Amino acid sequence: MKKRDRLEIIHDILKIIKDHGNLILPTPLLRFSNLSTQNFNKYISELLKKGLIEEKYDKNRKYYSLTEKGFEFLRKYKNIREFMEEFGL
Amino acid sequence: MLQFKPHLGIVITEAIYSSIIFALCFLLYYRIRKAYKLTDYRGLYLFSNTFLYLGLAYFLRFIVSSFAVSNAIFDLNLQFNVIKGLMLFSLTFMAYSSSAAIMYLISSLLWRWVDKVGNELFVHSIAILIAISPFIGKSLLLLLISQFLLLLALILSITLNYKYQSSKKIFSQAYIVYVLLFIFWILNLSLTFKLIPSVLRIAIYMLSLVVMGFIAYKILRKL
Repeated sequence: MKKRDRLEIIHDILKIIKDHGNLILPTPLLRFSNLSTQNFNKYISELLKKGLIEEKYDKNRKYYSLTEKGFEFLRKYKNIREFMEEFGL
Repeated sequence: MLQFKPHLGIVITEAIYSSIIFALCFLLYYRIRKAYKLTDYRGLYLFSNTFLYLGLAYFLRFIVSSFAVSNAIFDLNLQFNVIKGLMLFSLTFMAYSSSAAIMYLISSLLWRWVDKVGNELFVHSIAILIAISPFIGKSLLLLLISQFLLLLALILSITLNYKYQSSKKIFSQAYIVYVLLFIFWILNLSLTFKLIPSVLRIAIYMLSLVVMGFIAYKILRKL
């Protein structure tokens, strides 16, 4: 199996959140994202810092949800990816 | 006292030409930078800077030619030494800025394999060295040689990038754009150093605009 690069991993995490009705608990997100706990925490911190996802709380349980910027990333990902590959960046 | 009286037609053409090029460059910079802000991908950052520095070079060229147009229309009677100083500054800045643009393009092609080329301090140090080379060598020849060396480095980078790319399509959009950018630079360089007769100026400008328009189309339709 081909090793995913940073952008692919970010895309996969955001897509999992979107496919789960834009609200997901950390444990299933970790399981579906196929990452080690250490890497998962690293990516989640980066996504929160960049404002692509946000934390929401319901009955003391933490959920992750996409922000508008997160949706924009998913909308533009395919084009940006193709652009980067075509231009050898 | 010598006075500067350029041909009005030439300076107006120059002002229009440089304004279109810098507008296109800044538009490309803005769109690529937007993609970079979303992804934080270093290759996009370096590639966007190519158009930022190319745009800055043409922006200054636009300012200088607009100044010359004002001088010709409003009869400002500026002394030759003032214009000469302005032209010297403009040429130095253009040499710095266009060298930085090419260095950023090389960096965007090689940053994944060669760490040092992605280093911005390295990029600007080389660009400054090239820009001041006419003062060090007291001749424009050094500047011309360094520009051609940069072009050779660009060809080498395109070849290396192609070699290490996973999708090896010889006619991919990237290589068409890089070849066009190369032609654009060669044409403008030749005109600046008077390697091409000035009577061909309009033809070169038209060709450069077509080339730059095509590059913008290829990039903007994706972003």
